[in-house]
Amino acid sequence: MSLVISFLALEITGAVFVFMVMLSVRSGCGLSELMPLSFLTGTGIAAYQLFVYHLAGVRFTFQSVSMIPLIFVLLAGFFLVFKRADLKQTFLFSRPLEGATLLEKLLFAGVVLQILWVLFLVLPVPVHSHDAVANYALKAKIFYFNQGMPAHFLNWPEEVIAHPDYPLLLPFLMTWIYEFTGFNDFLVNLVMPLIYVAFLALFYALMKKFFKRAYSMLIVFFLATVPQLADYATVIHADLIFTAFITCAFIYFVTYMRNTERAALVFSSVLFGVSLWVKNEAMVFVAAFFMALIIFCIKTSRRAGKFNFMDIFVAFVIIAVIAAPWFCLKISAGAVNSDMDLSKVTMGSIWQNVKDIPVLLNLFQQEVFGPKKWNIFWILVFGCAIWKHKSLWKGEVFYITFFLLVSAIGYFAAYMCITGGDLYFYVNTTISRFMLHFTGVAAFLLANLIWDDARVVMSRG
Amino acid sequence: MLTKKNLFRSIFVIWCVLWLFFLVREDKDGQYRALRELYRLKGEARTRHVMGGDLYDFLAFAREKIPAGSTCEIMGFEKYSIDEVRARYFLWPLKAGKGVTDFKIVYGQGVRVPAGYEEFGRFGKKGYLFINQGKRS
Repeated sequence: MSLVISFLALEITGAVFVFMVMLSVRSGCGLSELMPLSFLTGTGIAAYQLFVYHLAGVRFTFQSVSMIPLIFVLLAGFFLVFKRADLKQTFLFSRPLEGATLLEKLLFAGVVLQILWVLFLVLPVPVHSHDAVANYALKAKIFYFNQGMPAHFLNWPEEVIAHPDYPLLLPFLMTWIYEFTGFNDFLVNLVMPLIYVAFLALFYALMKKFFKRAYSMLIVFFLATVPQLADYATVIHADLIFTAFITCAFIYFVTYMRNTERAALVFSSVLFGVSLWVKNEAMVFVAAFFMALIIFCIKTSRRAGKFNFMDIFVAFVIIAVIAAPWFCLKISAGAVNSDMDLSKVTMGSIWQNVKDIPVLLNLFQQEVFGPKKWNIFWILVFGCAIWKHKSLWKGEVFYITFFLLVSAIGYFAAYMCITGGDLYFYVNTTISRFMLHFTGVAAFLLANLIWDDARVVMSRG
Repeated sequence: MLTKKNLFRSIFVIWCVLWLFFLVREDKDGQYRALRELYRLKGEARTRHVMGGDLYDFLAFAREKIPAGSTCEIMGFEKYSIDEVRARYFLWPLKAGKGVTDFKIVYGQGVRVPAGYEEFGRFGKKGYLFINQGKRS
């Protein structure tokens, strides 16, 4: 029960935030979008809350932690009583499966089956995977029993904790849940399937802004049943959360480009901002996002006759407000990444890595063609990219291709700057989860590339 | 005949077949047996099953004997191996460290007493606890 309350608190906290954003920019969304978006933003707010507590020297206790969601619950009550008309205007209630065809029902059943399977694998198992116990779950355990982040935590050696410099969203989120449930490393595992469901639900809601329901369902089915994605919903790991934030943030950005809707840009920026709390790799995606945004503004300024500086500024401010405190603390603490210390990067170390590029390519092709982790997902993505190569650089698809390409180059450059040891070891242990980060946006690219053909085929039954 | 419709259908069928195959196939040998056992067990017994009985019992012994908040070096494991990081996680609020620590927790047999330490506890033939002589005094 306490676990359900903690999840509800995340949901309500996020929902109030989403409502306030929607109200301020006079926009709205469906309930199917509101619920998952609220949960994802709720996790970000929870992490931010604990971080601010750390800075303010407030102890992590149930009383102190539950205070903020309680305020949000009271705000929700206030909105329900005094802003009912605005709520009705902002959130559109609809039945998602009303009038569904057999295909849609089957696809929905497939996704439900996959979710149930994930739950079946998660329910009886405590936190146990390597990165969970070495990093995320150990940090959460430390924060919970210490009632806060210990002094000089970011400088602790690797013998005590793995990667103390890593962003803290997942450990904070787990600590937040522990404050409700008490220390229970069985129950806390359930947050991952829930994030998986929230991701799929939000992805579906966003797909429906671009495509018909059946096609959106098909894309969600493909994404949900990528074995690697489902596998990461069964273990405490930041990569699934990261994929969810990056994917949804970017699709909100494309929504913004289509409608120049300020709300979409705000949510895109919020999710990109929160992604910087999830993994360091977010810096690459955020940089690619800003490049794409600037290109978009330049292109539209040619048509409109004036440069839309305001939107770039808004996105920058939102991301900076969310992420800057973390970076300030990290830099002031002098926390160093054990795998990539930029001060140690030399021409010699880069050259050593460049010589190992064939190793990287070999491991990459093993991933692309290996059905165990990816089914035929990457074969489809690359196959369609070749088939529809002329469409890759047209219209909205240009930005998706650009975003993926720039981010991939960023990852490649990061591999070349590895200073911690041999490249094979790093690539071998990271490539499959790094490819996971691209999966959602790649699925969106795939959906766009074959939409015209699929529409014809689906209309003929 | 290869039409777009047939192509799309074929891709969908291939996807579904591979999906179901890898969904129900054991990810690791004995995965279903382990899951069945985990569903049968309750609470800490599940953790014990996941970690392995020997390791769990020894670490539970160490956690009980050593005062919370002490520093300890966990030895007898390959560095950063799954057992070593699980031990670190399990033992907290004992803080893992290296070099001069309050305790040495050594998993395995035929262990010599580290210099500057004396035996503090022994768990059958599975492991030893050593205390820093300075700490003892």
